[in-house]
Amino acid sequence: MQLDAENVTMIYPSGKKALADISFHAQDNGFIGILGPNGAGKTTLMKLLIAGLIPTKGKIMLNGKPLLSQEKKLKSQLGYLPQSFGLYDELTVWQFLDYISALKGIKDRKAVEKVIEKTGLTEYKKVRIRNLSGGQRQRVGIAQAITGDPQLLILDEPTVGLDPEERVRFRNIFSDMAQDKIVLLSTHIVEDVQAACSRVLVIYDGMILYDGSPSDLICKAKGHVGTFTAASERDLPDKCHVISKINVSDGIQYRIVAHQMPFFTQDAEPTLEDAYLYCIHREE
Amino acid sequence: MKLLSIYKLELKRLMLSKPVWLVCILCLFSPLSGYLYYKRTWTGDAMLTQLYIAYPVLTAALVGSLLFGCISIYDAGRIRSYKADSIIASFISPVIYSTARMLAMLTISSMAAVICSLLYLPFTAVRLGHIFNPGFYLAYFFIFTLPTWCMSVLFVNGIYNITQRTDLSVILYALLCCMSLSKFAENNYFMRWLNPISGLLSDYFLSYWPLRIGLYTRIIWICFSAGLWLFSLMCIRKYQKNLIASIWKGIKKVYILILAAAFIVSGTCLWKHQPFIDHGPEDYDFKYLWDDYLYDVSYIDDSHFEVKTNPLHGTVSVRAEYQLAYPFRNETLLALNPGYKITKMTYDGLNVDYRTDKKVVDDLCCTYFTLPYTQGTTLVIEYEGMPTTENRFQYYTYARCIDNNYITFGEQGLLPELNVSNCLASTIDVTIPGKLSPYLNYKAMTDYTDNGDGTKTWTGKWENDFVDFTAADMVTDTLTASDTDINLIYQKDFEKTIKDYNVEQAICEAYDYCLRHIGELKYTDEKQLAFMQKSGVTYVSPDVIEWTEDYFPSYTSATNQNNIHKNDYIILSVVSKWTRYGGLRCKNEELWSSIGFEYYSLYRIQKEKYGELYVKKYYIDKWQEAVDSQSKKFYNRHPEYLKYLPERYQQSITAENNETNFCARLPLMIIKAEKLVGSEKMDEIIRQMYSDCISEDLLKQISFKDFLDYCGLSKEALSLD
Repeated sequence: MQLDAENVTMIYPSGKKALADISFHAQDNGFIGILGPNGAGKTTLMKLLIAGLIPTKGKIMLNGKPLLSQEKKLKSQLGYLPQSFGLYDELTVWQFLDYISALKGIKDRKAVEKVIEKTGLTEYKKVRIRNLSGGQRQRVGIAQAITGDPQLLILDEPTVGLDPEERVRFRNIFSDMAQDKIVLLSTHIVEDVQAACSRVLVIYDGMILYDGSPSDLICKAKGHVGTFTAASERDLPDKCHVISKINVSDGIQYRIVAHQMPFFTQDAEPTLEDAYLYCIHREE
Repeated sequence: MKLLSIYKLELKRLMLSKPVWLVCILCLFSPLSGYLYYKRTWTGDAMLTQLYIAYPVLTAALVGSLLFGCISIYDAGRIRSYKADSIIASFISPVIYSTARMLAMLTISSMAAVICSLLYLPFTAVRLGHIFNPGFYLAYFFIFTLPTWCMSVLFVNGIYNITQRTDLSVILYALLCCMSLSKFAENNYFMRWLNPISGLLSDYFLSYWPLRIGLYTRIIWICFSAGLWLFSLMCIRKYQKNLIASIWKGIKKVYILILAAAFIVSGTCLWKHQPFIDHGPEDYDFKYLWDDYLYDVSYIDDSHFEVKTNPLHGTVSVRAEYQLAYPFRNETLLALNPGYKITKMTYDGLNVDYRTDKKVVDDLCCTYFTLPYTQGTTLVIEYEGMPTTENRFQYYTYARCIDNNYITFGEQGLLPELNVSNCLASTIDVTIPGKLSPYLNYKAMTDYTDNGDGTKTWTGKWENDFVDFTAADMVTDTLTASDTDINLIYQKDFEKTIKDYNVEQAICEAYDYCLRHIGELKYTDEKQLAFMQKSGVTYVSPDVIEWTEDYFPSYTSATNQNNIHKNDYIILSVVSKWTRYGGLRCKNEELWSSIGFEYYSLYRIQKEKYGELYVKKYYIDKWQEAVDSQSKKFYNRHPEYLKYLPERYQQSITAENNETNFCARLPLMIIKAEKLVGSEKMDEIIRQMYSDCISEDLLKQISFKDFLDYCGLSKEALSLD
């Protein structure tokens, strides 16, 4: 499977420009993480890729042909978890997933059991969805997305509401699936991307700022991350962004990113989060 | 196919859904309310088919539609209310999903209708007994209930696809329902999609006219609902576009747009060109066609009509041939039932140009033509079609009927009228189903040819302008009353009722009474009277009384209007030949009418037969009860408040008061007069009044004051208060 976005611009009827001339390519397999702050355009990009929106300019191709002309084929191979979604509350978990699998045309009745087991919902399978917690509902959402083993899995902030242990579990599931599928995961939580993604897209203000491996992104941030200790916040240098601050005995220890590091800072080994923040704030 | 598999899935889901089950169960109970609460007409009560087929089925159509409309709105809005649309739209096209859900609901509604019809079939069969026709029952159920329930589903799904909002859909659906339930649609077969009307049914003259018009109206509205639904498929939101943008995108599926337009245009054309009801005035306007036209001084030597009926389609084709004594000098007017279309007009073999005015006057449409002023002889007019029912009488579906079981054309329903002087002699060859017995001007036709295809061609003749043709499975009993032969003609299956209610004896006794106590009838020379059973609107003339099966209400255990007992209606119809349609004509005043004398005569006839106690129990006391009840009613005690009521309620109260006044109060007043002057004197007075009317050639009308003068009594003396 090959997915291409070429010079895609998306302007909503209200005039908001959600994406500005972006291009990217995904092929065969891979776990692609899409990082960006709220309002960056991640969800819009996801919706364009599932044919939920029509781009204002540019084109999106599936296997070399326009996506919109292959909607049926796309839908038959797609697993999608939206950022905001609802479920049929009056159904039990098993009933809902059975219904979804039937709608998807999955004839194997064991597929539902497999998915329930995979997402850790076995003990809740006879519980009505209205009685589940937020995290458990999120798991049901993920379960319906991976039902039928789709070739293209698009997940929009899937780990919201999950506890750390569950997040690790699902990252592993997505990572396993990415062995022979395309998995696109959008998040603003860097750990989700750091642990499993082989490729990162950083989106900010509708533009792709970075498209490459996490390690390369980290390399780019080398020399632009540092620490220093200041007596108070008034001593913060200009044009830098604070990543973290820790109160220490002689003041506040800051970890900052900046394009031009102040002389008094000490270089620090950048993490992916540092690199991400450097990437988005560099544009400012 | 994806649609098929999702449809099966949705069908299974709906069949397991509790709300859907609840709706289906309520629908199965819906006909019950029709047995009890459906609005009753003044004659409809007497028909078993009306009580046990029409009312429950039409009620079920209304109630079931509303229920399926509600459940369809609930189901259509479910996906959005649960916000599951973003997930489901990612792997199914919203159009396919919506279509599959709609088809599943349509299937459920159809299944519910089928089960409902079978559920009530045994009960209906038992109640109707020997007159039950399972084919008619099932056809009636399926024509009125099943499509109406399905239309609700289509409309709701169409509306929801357009609005994508439950609240707006409820409002729009409610408006659509109100349109059908409104006052404007009250007497309009074609506007009432939700609560269809079918016209009166007959127990003994089974006609498929109500089914034909019912099916026609259902097809019209199925076209509209299907067209709306198809159009709404283009409105289903995709790509987060709004309504207009979605329609613009959907227009690319041109075939859907064309199909939607085709349905809507078809429905509109069917409505506009409906062949059942003419486009005449809704109210009686007392306008006669021949008021505006003078008769031409021309003569027709004789005329011959070849009539071929098509009971399957309810149509007839006629070839009318006129032998002219003199050619028509001026433009000639030919008046014909609006349902017929002239296909050919020739004069001695040459085509004649004609123009037809579609305006309906007096149940007729006019065609104008001018013949070349030559000494021609033969004018031939060919026409065909389905005779329409008058708009103002559209509820009386049997006024014109062409079916396998019953054929009648009513007045002006078959042959054309020309503005020329009388035709001297007419003959007719009419082809009808072989099992029917035809009557021409209330006399049995005897000459026929068997065509070998299940039909017979009957030949008859008559010598005046009036023609009445009726054919059914009838029998004729000839009764003799005094020196008059009375032909009692009735439907064969009605024989048991005739025997059970001693109808023949009642007719003879009433006839004898009227001859003795009122006077001789003004007859034709033949001294023959016909009592013919028909269905629907009846007709009375010097030689004929038409009566209907609802003259015997008590046999259906229906509500007893006017306190009618046993065979009272038939007695009243005999007496009416001496009163309203005979000599004793009364001016119509608030408290005066010929009907009062009819009920008084009924009392006298029954008193002679059964005695004082009997008439006190079944007539005097009942009439007094009705009069007392009338006095206690609020708007009769306070007539000053009547003006605040809507007009239709005022008219209803007036009609109710007239009924009580003429059928209860007035006969009691005449009985009081009789007590004051004596029975013999009262007979003398009535004979005198009748004789005075006859001597002035029926132009005299007796007023209440005249009656008081004849009796030598004052108004106060006859007061019942």
